[in-house]
Amino acid sequence: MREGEIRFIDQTVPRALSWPLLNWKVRIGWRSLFYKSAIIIASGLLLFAIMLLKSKTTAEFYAEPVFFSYAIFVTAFVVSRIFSAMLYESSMDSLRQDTASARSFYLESYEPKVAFVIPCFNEERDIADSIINCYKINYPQDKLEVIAINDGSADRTLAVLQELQRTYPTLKIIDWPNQGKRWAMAAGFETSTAEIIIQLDSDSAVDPATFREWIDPFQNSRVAAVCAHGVPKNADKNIITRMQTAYYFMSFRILKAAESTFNTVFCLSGCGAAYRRSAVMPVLYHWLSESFLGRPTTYGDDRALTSWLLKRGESIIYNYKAVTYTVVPENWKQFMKQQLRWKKSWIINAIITSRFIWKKQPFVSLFYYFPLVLISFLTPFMTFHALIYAPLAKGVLPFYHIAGVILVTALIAIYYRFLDKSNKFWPYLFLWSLLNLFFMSFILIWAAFKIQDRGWGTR
Amino acid sequence: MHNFNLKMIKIILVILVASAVVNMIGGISILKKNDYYFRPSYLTMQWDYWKTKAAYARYSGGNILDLFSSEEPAVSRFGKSGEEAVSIPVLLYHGVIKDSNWQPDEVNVRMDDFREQLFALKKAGWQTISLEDYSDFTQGKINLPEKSFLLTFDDGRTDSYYPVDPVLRALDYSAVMFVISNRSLSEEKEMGHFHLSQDELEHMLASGRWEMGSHTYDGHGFVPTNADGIQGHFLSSRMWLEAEKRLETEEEYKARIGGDMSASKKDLEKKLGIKAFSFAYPFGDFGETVENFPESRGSVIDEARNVFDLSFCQTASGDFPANYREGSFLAKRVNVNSLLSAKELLHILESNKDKPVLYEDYFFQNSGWISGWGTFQMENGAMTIGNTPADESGLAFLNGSYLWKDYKAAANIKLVKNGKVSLAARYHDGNNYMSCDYSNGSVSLTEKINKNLVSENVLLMDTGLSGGREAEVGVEVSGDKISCYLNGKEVVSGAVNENLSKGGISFKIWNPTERDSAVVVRELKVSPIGE
Repeated sequence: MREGEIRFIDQTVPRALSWPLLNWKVRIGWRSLFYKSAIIIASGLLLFAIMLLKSKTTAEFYAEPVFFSYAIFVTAFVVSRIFSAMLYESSMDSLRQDTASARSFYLESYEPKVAFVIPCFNEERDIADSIINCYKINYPQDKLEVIAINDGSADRTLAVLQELQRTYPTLKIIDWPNQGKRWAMAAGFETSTAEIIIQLDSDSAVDPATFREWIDPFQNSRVAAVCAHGVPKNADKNIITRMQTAYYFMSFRILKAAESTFNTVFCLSGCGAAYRRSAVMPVLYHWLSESFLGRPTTYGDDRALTSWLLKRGESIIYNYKAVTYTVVPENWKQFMKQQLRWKKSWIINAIITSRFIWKKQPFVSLFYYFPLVLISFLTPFMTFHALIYAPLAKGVLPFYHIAGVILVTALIAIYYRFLDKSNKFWPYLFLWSLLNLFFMSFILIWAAFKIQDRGWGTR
Repeated sequence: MHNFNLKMIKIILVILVASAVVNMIGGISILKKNDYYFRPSYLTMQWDYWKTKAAYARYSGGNILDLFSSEEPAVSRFGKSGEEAVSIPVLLYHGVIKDSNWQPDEVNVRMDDFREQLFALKKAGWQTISLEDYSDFTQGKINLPEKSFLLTFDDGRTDSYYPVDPVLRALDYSAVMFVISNRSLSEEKEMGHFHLSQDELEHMLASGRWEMGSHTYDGHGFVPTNADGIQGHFLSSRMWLEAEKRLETEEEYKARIGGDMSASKKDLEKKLGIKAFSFAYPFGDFGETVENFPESRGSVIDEARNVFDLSFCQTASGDFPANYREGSFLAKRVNVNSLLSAKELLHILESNKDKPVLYEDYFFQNSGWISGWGTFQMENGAMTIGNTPADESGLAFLNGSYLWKDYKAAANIKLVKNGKVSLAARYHDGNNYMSCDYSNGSVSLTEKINKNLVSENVLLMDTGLSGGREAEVGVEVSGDKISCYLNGKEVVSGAVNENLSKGGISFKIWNPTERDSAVVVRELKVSPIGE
């Protein structure tokens, strides 16, 4: 990849969008063919097993319309996520073709000015690595800007930053008393002159090898933000991190990819989000002054900013080829704290987003967003019914319910295996699923009760 | 361009998701309808079928590989011997219990015993027939092979289907299920139900191995028969109407039981689409055990006859265990349970075979004697029939002698203790026969019809039986004349009841005071008269 090299679009992306499902990267070869057939057969068998299970457990529609509809609805939702994720590549191809048709060519080395904005709060331990990593990427140094915002850290963070500035004179440091992550990010947007601004959590790191993939989609002027694929750095530490690694993979490669198919990723995760500055600036102050139930929202900043961009009708996509590394909680307490924080921000954001999304994205609202909200709020009650109410009141043990959850998880696991054969964490998806069933769906209710408690709540 | 593509993607997604939902709902409802095939019980039946087939191959000494070969070459319908049946035995089962800890009772049968019984029959060459064949045979319309029998199950219980069907399938047998229609066909049944559901009955019919008959609509139960709430059988008792403080009238009674029967017939015919022409009396009671309504015996059968073509009861003690070509509305069934060994069952069925009237029996092995009640023993050339503290008499009859008409029978008898020994001729059952009775001091000719002693012609004389001495007794029936013989001499004679134009022989000992009396019978010789 040499600077200034130009390739014509009809060479790189020769296909017209004829039949999106055929755009899977099909490598010819017996092993691959065998593997893919096995996967298709397995998913067929699984769908049959799911239907069989439902035919055994659900009463007729007339007898129990709520439970019957819920059962169909949830499975259809999961299936629709997988279908959407399957159409992801088609959507990405289309974006690339769109760029080409607008300009009649596609730049292999598109190099806009890029800024990293890193808010830090008591991060003396990790911050040096993060910043050094930013300078390591394969990108012209004159087009690279790194801005660290010390948000009133009580530890040696500032000292570490100043030390780094000696090695990297271009490093910009903003130091102010604690104002929250949101203000720190805003300062980055204000200070920088770069076209693309990447917000990095202090414990996250960009994968230098795939960095250009992240910037690449911005060639299409309609793209306002790009989410990178997040991978836990400490994936293999213990069962908790392995489980989260499986969840991250599913959450990015299936759920975010599915959102991205319609250019409406709902959350640019904090571990790696790239924004087009010109798209963010008009909403920056709306975002800063946002409040919920009379109090400023102090978490879920990434989600909230994404939401503001969606409100403006911007296109937000996910590119799985760009990788960022992050650190996931290694013990249950931290893990639960993080989950609680995410759920709280999800609830607040769901309410805020619901107000406009049906106007801006009627299709996505109807087929994804409102069903998602409905399922999220219904699931705790359905789980309560299956795990607690039915066994106590009717003496019906929840074997079938649990089996159903496992089967649906297996369906997801099969697509997981299809996407990446080498990712070994897939069995932990079942653990995640069971944890979600027995515990996490109830956390949402807990989160709803604690919604007014707005501490930083971070690690 | 991109917007157009997004639109395309949206359309494709909607089509995919919609077809997924349609397929899912369709699939669920198809599976729900065919839920039968996905129950553990169905899969167990498939497994049991192969197990039974293998077990039978081992039992019959065949090669296990025969399992996979095609059907045996078809022999003629009349079997290898080509002989025709003169009578058809009907077997009655209820539940077949798989639980090995179950203690045998008189109603149900243990799975292992049931299998053993049917294996023994199959190996001996017995084959099941259909209800229609049975009906046609008894009416003399068709002939059937010699070793034909009808297999029936009462009550429509799940445990007389799931354990049984694999055995029937493995042995190429068929059976009749008598269903209590309201209990099976009324509402959707939960899993683990006791009575078979409509869905199960339909699958049974579809298999071709099962036929259905009626076992009442909801009459397999009890009704109050007086103000104290004493319960009586639904069909054979007049019901106490508590509100009106009276027993129902005969008309009300007939309307009640007749209504139940026709409701059952309608229910079965409408819901299962079959022709329900047969009926089985609950508890085998067609009015013979009634306390408050003796006339019900006739009424129950009459009402049943109005609705059905054929009805099934159970053999009473002393009944011939088979049904002859008399076109009888009432068919007798042998109640089989775990208390009857496979060998005993086979003996009963095999001895049904019509015996020639020229018959000699030296009592070294049992060639068809069946004990009705009391004690029974056969060894060393003697048949010993005794009474017990529970039964003041003991009786055994010769199976296969039912069709005998004019014959002379003579045997040596000896009394243990005292009592009256009866040698019956034209014996139909324990309540219908002519008999010559011998005690120490008398010979009498007895005519018994429907339990009632119609006539008794007593001749006081020394029979020479006292002190355990042996005497030769004999009976001769010819047309409507019967004579009793003692030591070769005719001692008393009379007319045979017109209802007893044919019938076999039996021996009976009666002594109400000494309950350990017995008769020892030796050297029986029967020869025809005339011809």
